[in-house]
Amino acid sequence: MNYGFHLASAGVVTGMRRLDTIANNLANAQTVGFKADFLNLEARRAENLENGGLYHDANKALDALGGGTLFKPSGIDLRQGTLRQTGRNLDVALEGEGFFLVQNPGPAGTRDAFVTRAGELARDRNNRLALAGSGALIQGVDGLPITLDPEDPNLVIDADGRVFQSDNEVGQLAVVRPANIANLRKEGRDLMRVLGGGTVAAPGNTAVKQGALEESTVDPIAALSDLVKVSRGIEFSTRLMQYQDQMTGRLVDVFGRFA
Amino acid sequence: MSYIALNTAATGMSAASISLDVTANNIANANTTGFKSSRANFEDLFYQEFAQPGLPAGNAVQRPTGLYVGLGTQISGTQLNFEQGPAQPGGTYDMMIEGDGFFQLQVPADVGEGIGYTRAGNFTLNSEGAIVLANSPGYRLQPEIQIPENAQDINISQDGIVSGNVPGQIDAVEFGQITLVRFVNPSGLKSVGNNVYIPTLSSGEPLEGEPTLDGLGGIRQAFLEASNVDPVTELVTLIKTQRTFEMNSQVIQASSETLRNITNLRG
Repeated sequence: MNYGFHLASAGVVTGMRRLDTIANNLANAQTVGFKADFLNLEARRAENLENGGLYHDANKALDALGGGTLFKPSGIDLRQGTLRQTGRNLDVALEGEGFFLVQNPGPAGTRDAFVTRAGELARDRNNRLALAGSGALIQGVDGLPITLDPEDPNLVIDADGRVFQSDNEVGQLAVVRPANIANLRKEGRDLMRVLGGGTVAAPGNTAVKQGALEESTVDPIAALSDLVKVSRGIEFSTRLMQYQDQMTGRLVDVFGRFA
Repeated sequence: MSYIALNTAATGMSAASISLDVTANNIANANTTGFKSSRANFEDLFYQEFAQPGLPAGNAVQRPTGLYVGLGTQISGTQLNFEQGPAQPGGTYDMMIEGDGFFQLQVPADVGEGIGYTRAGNFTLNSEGAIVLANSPGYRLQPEIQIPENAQDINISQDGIVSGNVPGQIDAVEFGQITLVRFVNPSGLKSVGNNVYIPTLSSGEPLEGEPTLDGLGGIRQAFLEASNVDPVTELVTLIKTQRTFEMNSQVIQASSETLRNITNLRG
């Protein structure tokens, strides 16, 4: 089959995966603490070179042609999201680098740390601070969940994440970042898993803001213009595949006939 | 396959429409006494793994990170906002809780074990002289308080003592004590309509006490707590939700177009 046919189909395959990523970003345009994903492409080297072969002068045209397109690893855009004031004393947002540490919701034996930027908190029925959605417990700096005083409705969280109830400090929210940012993996339900490497304390200038939530970092303008670009890209690639197919068809028609 | 994008965008649209429903209910209850607004919380769904980190990337290097594609969004829950609503003037039996707490009501036995809780203080008397909520079913306030027919100048103190003058007696007569309850996690309460909430496992047990004590708020007679729906916030949410819905429908169109292009490949 024609080489170009495969190059064009690589364009369709990668385009569709990019479309999936854009769809997920836009679906989460209103998810608090959501960080947009990005999926980049790179030019693939010619097959011969990829396999460690040498560059042949004799076969210049094909060797220099390249091998179509390939995914680069997907990444997470960790830019700061806009803070939205809610005034609720159990809404917290992070300003600066870092994540809230969540008690491991995984099966026993999972040692990976789980982190989140989604600060919609709630008291669970045992008076502990938990994520309102998944119910995962928020971890304090002492490695334990933060247990509140049931008698005291007051709750103040300061910029360092210390939790006060009528002047009594009942705990401090652990604010951490992964030792290696590339180890972050999204788990869904607002959680991200730190695959190995552990976590370290977040930089000192990261502030906890009570009464605010961090909006999703999805940029609708960029997402929609990407959507147009990607869907047109797929269209061009399919068109090219059709041309290649027509060419082959002609070839068969004209030369493939035995008299 | 771009079926993923199609389904992902569909989750975005259905979550946006739930959020729209919640906003619609908030706006519809902008004038409901004691109403507490809710908000819909979004969370991301699971991620599909297309390549693990560390796998060969094709050109003799290993992927430093993997390739994951998310599968959309869902509403993780709705959260009640128990912020104090503004005060508005009312009649003799109208009460407003200033601070934390709920009134207790006798509700049908199949609802929340017979006791419901409300912030709406639009009370009145029924034909038997009992204090009841002036809503359509007329639930009785608990503990029950009976006001004699000939009582005058009814006074409800901040700490919940109901008293009044009865002809022939010089001193004011005490008719009863209103108690309030508090929940550890009021956001975990379940709304059953008619301004009534019932406890759930996540709200915790009701903690009863006298008004102004044990972290409970005080009672203000002749005031009503208006709805705490903030129209500006709701309208901003409405706009954002509608736009999110539209953007997701654009993704559906784009992926449908893509699928059509692919289907027509062998034109």
